[in-house]
Amino acid sequence: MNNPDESTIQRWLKGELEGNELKQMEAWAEENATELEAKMGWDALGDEIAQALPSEQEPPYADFFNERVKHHAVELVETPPATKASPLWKRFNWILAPTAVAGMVFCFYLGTRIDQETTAIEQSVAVLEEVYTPASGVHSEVIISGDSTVIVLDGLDEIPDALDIVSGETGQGLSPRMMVKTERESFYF
Amino acid sequence: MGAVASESAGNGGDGPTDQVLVQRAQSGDYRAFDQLVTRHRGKVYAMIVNMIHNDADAWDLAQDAFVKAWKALPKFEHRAQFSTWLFRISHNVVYDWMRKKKVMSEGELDDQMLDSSRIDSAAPTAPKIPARPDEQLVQNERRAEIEKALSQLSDEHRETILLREVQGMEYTEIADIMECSKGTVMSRLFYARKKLQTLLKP
Repeated sequence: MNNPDESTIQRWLKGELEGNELKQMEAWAEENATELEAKMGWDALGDEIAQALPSEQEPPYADFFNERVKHHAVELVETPPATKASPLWKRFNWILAPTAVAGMVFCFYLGTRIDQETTAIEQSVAVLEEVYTPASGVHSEVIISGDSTVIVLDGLDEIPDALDIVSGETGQGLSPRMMVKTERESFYF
Repeated sequence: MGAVASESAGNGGDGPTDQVLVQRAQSGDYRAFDQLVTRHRGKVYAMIVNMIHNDADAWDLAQDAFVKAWKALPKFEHRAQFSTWLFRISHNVVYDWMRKKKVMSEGELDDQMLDSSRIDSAAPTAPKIPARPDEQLVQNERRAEIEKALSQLSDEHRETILLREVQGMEYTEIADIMECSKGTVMSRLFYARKKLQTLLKP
């Protein structure tokens, strides 16, 4: 390539050259780096930057820096990657699944035992209290056990099959959800 | 040109060469690697500080680069100089960090990296050559101007300038570190220089 003109150099600097033109320009630049640098009139500013910014600077607490590197590096050595499991351990991999199943069965059994015991405790600590209910003929029972309180309402009307709790619309008046909404609106206005 | 680009022995004249230390470290001798850390930590730390303008993060990242180097040492095949290889690792560590930082602060302006007025003129990055107070003041002002101009370049352009003008590396070394062609290095370098000339025009 002959000496490129100023506009070609500018297009190259802006990354606008492509294909053959780019290859030729890069080849020329590599061969004529010194000439190009002189052409750009860079020397003085380059020296100024080199003087202003340090090429080498000790990190603060240099000894501690080395110690930290060592600490992390040694950790890496002592903790082999997970893929390098010992062959002996691999040989007993098959035991994992049955052990897990046995553990689950044992936990289930334990759970049933604890549930039975808890029921017994709940029954023993149940406290009967009266709770006001708007409907007549409804019997209420309050069971307190530890931090939990359960209120049992006996004697309520059956919930009709047509009731759609999610949509809020029923064939028999407002659904509980709509009622709550209506109550809330009337509360605020 | 700033510092000497690459010492062929990599030892500054004292002690065993980088190559010898690397071979010893590759065979598991951590003391040899510790010597390499001591020898190169100044350049690696300075380069990272100049890139990100944050001493504390630069300290962590430089450390991270050396730990990664230790981990990857068995793969080092002496095709490039140890210092070039180490700078490539540092380059990757810094770019990963900047990428994560950009993702985390998407849309936020990182004024710490852009606002030169926040750069403490008494920071350890200041030149170590003692100067008269008035000269020091002028130097610090010019340095702040240069850092501000550099911060207006893209990461790639800034890194190319730092590697070439401050670390004094050859085009091929920079290409190796930044994993791009020599032509790309030259075009980035000349573009960055042109822009800096405009920004630093008296």
